[in-house]
Amino acid sequence: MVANHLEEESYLTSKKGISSWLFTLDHKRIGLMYLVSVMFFFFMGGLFAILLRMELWSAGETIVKAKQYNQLFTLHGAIMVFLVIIPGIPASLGNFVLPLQLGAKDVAFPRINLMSYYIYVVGALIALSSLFVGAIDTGWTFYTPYSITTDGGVVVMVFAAFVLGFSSIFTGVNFIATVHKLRAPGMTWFRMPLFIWGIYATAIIQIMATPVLAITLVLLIIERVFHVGIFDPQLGGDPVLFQHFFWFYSHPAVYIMILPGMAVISELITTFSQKRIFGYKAIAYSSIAIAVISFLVWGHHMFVSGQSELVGMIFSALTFLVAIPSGVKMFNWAATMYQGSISLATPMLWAMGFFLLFAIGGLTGCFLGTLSIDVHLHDTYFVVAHFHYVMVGGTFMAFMGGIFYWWPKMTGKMYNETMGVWSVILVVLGFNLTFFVQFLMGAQGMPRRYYHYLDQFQIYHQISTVGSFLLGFGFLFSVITLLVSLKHGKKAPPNPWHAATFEWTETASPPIEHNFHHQPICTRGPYEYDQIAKSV
Amino acid sequence: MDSVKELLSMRLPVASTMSWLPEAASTAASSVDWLFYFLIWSCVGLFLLVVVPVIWFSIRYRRKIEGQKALSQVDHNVKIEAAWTLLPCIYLAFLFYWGFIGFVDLYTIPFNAKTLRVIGQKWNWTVQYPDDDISVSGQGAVIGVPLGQPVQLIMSSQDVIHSFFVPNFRIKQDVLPGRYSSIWFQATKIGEFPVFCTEYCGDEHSKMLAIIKVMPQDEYQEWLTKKKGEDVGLPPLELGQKLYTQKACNACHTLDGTPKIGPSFKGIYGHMTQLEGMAAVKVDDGYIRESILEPQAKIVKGYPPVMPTFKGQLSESDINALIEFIKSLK
Amino acid sequence: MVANQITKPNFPLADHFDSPEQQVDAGKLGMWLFLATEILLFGGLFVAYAIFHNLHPELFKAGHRYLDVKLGAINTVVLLFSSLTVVLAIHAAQKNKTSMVALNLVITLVCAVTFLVVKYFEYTHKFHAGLLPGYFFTNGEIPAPDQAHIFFGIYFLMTGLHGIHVVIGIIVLLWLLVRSLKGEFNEQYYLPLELGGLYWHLVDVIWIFLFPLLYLIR
Repeated sequence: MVANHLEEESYLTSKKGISSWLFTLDHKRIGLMYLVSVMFFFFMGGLFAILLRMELWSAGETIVKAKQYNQLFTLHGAIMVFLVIIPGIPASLGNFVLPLQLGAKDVAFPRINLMSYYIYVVGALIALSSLFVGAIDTGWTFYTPYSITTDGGVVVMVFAAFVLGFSSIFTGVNFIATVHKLRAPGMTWFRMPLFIWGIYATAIIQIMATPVLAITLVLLIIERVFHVGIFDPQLGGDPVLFQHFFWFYSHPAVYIMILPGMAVISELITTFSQKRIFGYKAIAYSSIAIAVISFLVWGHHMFVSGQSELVGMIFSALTFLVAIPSGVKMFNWAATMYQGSISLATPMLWAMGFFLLFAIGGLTGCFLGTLSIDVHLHDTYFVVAHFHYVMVGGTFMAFMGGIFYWWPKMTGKMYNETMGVWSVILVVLGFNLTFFVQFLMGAQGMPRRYYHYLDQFQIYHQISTVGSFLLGFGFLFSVITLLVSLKHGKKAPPNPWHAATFEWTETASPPIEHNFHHQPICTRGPYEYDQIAKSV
Repeated sequence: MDSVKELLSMRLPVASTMSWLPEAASTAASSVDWLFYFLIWSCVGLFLLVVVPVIWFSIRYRRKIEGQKALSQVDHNVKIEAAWTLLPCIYLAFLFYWGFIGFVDLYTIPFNAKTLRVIGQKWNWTVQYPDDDISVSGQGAVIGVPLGQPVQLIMSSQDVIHSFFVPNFRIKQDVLPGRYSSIWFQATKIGEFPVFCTEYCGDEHSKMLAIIKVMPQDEYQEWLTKKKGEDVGLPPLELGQKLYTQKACNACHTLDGTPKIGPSFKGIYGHMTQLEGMAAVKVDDGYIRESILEPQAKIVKGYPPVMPTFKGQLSESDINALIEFIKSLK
Repeated sequence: MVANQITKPNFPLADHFDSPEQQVDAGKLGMWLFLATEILLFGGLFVAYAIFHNLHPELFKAGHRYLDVKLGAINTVVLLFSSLTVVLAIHAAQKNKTSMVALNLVITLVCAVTFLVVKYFEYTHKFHAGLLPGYFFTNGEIPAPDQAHIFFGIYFLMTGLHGIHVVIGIIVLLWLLVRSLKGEFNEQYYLPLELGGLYWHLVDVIWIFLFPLLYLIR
């Protein structure tokens, strides 16, 4: 039996030729295609970030004019949000790992899965084509009435975000149906790995919030083209209504970004501690709690937009409420390591980096939830630093951790451990150098999206710029580490980390096209390290 | 233009270089600052509380030999879990309460407040003093206010959303088109404090600056009197030159012939100019007047139709003065 | 394996599913989730409607008089009837009456096209009268303040988005018709019919909300 299995080819080599990739219905291949696309756009967005930091080396013109600077930060934001962080973990790692962890042969709707990938590609191309119509300078939030009056390809970019929304919706529908209907025999809800819980909670937000964004963007396009007067104050409309609509989506979207990151971290911490996760149900439920409460906090982006004190009070209270489940997760992860058998391999180091940076990101969120403090900090670099700590320090660190964790499974190759460790060190150092000073500068009153700035901020800006180069180099080095492994890496065993979930225990590295030779049967929880059966 | 440069090189009054917040100069600042510093120190504490154990665990329980098993598989402890859920609740409830109290203070305007009207437009602030019949405007405009007296700002925008931010006073409020928003402060320190626009509004967003100048009462009265007298009896050409920077014409129109967001003023008077979609038109007094009051009526070819109207902001003599000024630019 | 024993002969089972039941359940769940997103999509417009109705109730009173209640009512009946025929088509499939499936689908399609034709006449009338959104609003006789264009903006947005859904519905129905003519549906396999039917019901239900909100508002 075993010998027969080894002869069957992996999903990577079972079919050949470019069209076997382009028209594949295999969730693993689609996941890889997403991964490559997302990484491509990550480096493009990163390039814009480096240009921004170079511009800010000195006040006034350093390398570009004010208009181009505004276009650069808009592109940086729009690409990173819509093309990188939102699809990032769910569409790439989620696609690859979720069916494997569930013991399923594929996602519930493989054709819709492929379709959502192509919708993503089309959306991305539309977004890039806005550059040729005239780069937009509205900021990624497209606030009205500025976005109605400024020139450039606003309609094209907004339409791109609209299209990308559908990709996100279809992915969400697919994952929910898969989790509900395609679990392996014996896999009850509380035997699911926490990664699945996180992706499941994410999918709920994706399908509930994204349609509202879609209609908001449609309204914006209609407003700009036909001047309907919904958002345009000159025609009797309400520009603040746009902010309500936009944040009703975009705040939950913040959790579309961070929940999958937390989901990855839950897997990493338990595996590399060889210990059952502490408070499984607390972590699972807290994901769902975050998903639900995240719909009720959008107003905290608008404390100074002229809403009443009462509304401000309610949103502030709800914002603090959503902080609790995130805090609980942090404590649970820490407790998981207690009395474990901890290995500081590269994926675990990414998780440690996440822990450090996300702690800072989360705690600085307390400043912004506190009403009177937020008045001073709103729209300053403090906010910029805060969300970079959460989005890059949180989500993206987890994303990298996940890639390094599942890389042997995806490619069948082990990367060089020393290079992996250095990647983490470079990124964590570069990141803190870039963004920590921005807390200081923001608290002292440096507004965001400023091309000119007062002299006193120059030293902070210069430290930040130096840091951004280190950070960029760190990410480049990480990718090089991975790419080198494709050619020179050792062959990966089926379960190099001694993990206890299906994708490691029940299938080879890389898996065969239909994932498993036999339908796996689930007889235990996902983190029972004592009971890992003999590997495949 | 010069005033902006000056402002850009001015340092915000910060107590010391390593301080987190800029120098406090209003009554609101004191009620905000203690909470800010409380947050900083409590967050440092909380940070250490989660990070130190994690680092300690990763040293203490580091895997020594391949295949080593965990010391235990303990996966829950109701007491500890209840503690780390409830204690943060108390901490956050405290933050919420004091944040809300401070917030209400920031927006509850004292009845004896002196009213100033603020108009935001791309890319400058105009502040009108309704009681004293004067106004100041332009990038880097100096807004005089009396020490120790509450001042209320009633704000609206000509075009897009702006936001009025005075770091030293810890106040910020969005300025919206088509509606009024307000905020107040009571200055407690004499000095000059910068005003930033903090809602992104386009190309010169970062130059949309002003200075609040806090003066003792008697000096403030002198300032008001001086302001009132300033514009009277100025020859039209000089008044026009002044308005050119004060009304921020310079944000879009240069004097040296280089095109910016709008066409340069240099040498246009008396010449033909090509319009969008229509024939050419001669730049004369009537055309300039129309362009100031109804900017969208005729759009010069190759420029975006983005100029706001100045209807109601300029007197007849102001408009005449601007025409004289443009005329003088050969 | 175990799964294969319960496979039905006339059921095209996708190879990543274990049983027809699983495939049907997954398909239906997916469709319901998608319908939820559709409702949220329209939900945004309903919120906008509520806000502006709250701000300017007089616009809606003045505006709705310019909508043709009779045509709106006809369309409501037409759509309700088409929902019935979709149900009949599914019913026929369950009874293995292949020709009745096709017939009912054709009737549904006729209803859908009728709806669009009526809508076309309504729209052309508005175009001629200048009752259009925003800058294009040129009607001078309407006894409402100068923001009457907002009502027509909302009217065209809501009915337009609904109209797009009708068009997509027609494409789906055509696809179902082709498959039914090929005889693909039978008592064991009629999942696509059910899913298409669910979608068509949604289009219907949304219209049932739009009709009173726009045409009958007082």
